[in-house]
Amino acid sequence: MMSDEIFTKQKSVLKKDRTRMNTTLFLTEFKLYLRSFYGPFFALVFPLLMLVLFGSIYGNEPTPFYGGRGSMDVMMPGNIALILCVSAFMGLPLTLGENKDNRVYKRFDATPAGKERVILIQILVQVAVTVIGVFLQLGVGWMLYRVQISHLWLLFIGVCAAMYSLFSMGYLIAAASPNLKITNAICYTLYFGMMFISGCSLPREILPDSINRIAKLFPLTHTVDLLNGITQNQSLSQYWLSWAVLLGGGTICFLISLYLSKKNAW
Amino acid sequence: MNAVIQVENLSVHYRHIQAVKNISFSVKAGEIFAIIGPNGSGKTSTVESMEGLIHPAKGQIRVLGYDPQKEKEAMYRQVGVQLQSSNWPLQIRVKELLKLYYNLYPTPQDPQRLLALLGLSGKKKHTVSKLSGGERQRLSIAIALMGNPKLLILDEVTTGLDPAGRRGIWNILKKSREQGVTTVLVSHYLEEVEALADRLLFLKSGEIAYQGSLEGFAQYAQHTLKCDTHEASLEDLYLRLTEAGWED
Repeated sequence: MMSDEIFTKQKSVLKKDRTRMNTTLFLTEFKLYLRSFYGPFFALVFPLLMLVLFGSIYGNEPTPFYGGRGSMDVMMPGNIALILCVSAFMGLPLTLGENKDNRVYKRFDATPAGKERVILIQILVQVAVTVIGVFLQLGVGWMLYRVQISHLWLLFIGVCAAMYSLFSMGYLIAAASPNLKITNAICYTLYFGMMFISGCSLPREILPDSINRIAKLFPLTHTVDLLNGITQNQSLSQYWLSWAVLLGGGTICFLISLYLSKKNAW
Repeated sequence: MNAVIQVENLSVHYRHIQAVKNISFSVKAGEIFAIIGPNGSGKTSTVESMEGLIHPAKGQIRVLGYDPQKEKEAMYRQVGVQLQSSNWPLQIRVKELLKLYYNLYPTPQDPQRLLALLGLSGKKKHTVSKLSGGERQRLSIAIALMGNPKLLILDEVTTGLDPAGRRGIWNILKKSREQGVTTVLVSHYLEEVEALADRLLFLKSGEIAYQGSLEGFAQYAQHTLKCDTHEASLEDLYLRLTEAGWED
């Protein structure tokens, strides 16, 4: 009985210590993220500037051309996809790559925290920033242009699936790249490439068929399709492929990156 | 005295290179145990195996009774480490870093006291990127001491420090020993080993050439070099022994 009590007490102290450790790590990583200019600007400020810019040009009056929806209603899924893309291809892999190159993880691996916990917390920071960015986009869109989003919960689930897929790919880039220069090169190429062909900044209808076929290979295209499908109240049969690609592709990328990050010393 | 570290038949391989070859030794509680040897002799590989940072090809290691590979979190609640090559995020401030490490340990030391001890009180608001090499080295020692460790593992702890800084670290390590802290010290500075160590391990090409007391090292050198070594310092003996190794 006595030893049971001691064990329970030790367990509760350990839990408290871990909570303190996790909270401090999260807050410190979040602070470091905010301290860098490019990350917060492109994930939080830039998408809002795009929203305000296009909103002031096109407004959000419902038109028959968009099936009774306004321009900003139609653009919102693309804007959200852009925020996810920034965190997944500019925020996460560059943070992981920089820390990997500078052997920061090795330093944390020699503490009770361990490198896995630090990596997980850095991913959570990116998730938090993305969620804040999405809510800001939806909130400002509604306040300035009365952007209508139906099925908000389904949209949230769609955003989570897209985050899983895109973040797994970002993690894979960081895990597979031998150094930060290569991580940078891959991330910039993918980010700008996907941004123009996935339909989040330019309508895919204006792109040639060959480009559209290539676009279908990238998860951002399926993210835009999925979020469009949800916000346009389409039936699931019309965008099931996007769910499958995002969840399946995300799992494959995640498993390979886990294998690589264990195989190579971080 | 009980063994704080027990290493048995440790071998470490990097692809086709065998960095450490089947070595065994133990570190007793409360002692300063030095590991010396020329570059590439397997010192850092041995220490990083003890720290659980690399996977040995073979062998058993227990540190404070823990398996460094499987019980890392529990082990590091009682072990402070200073690594030879690693870094912190460059944009973090010194006080933020100390606050972070303060919250990683169950019974941490007062960060202000540690900063004062290491002469870094004036650098609290500086980011790591703004610190000089010597200041970063002192910061890494402050962090190694943060968790009130029972065991300190220090890899080239005074590299980059000026003579005053080096002496300051020696005093801290001597005080820690008086408080019962066990220290494993990897060093290229033989005067440092002479001033601090109770016992030493001399590695050559991944194998143990000698382990034991500093006095015994002179006898070992005399025997190996087949000459009188009475007046020679530890550094002279080491140099002659490692030169003999090259001639081989």
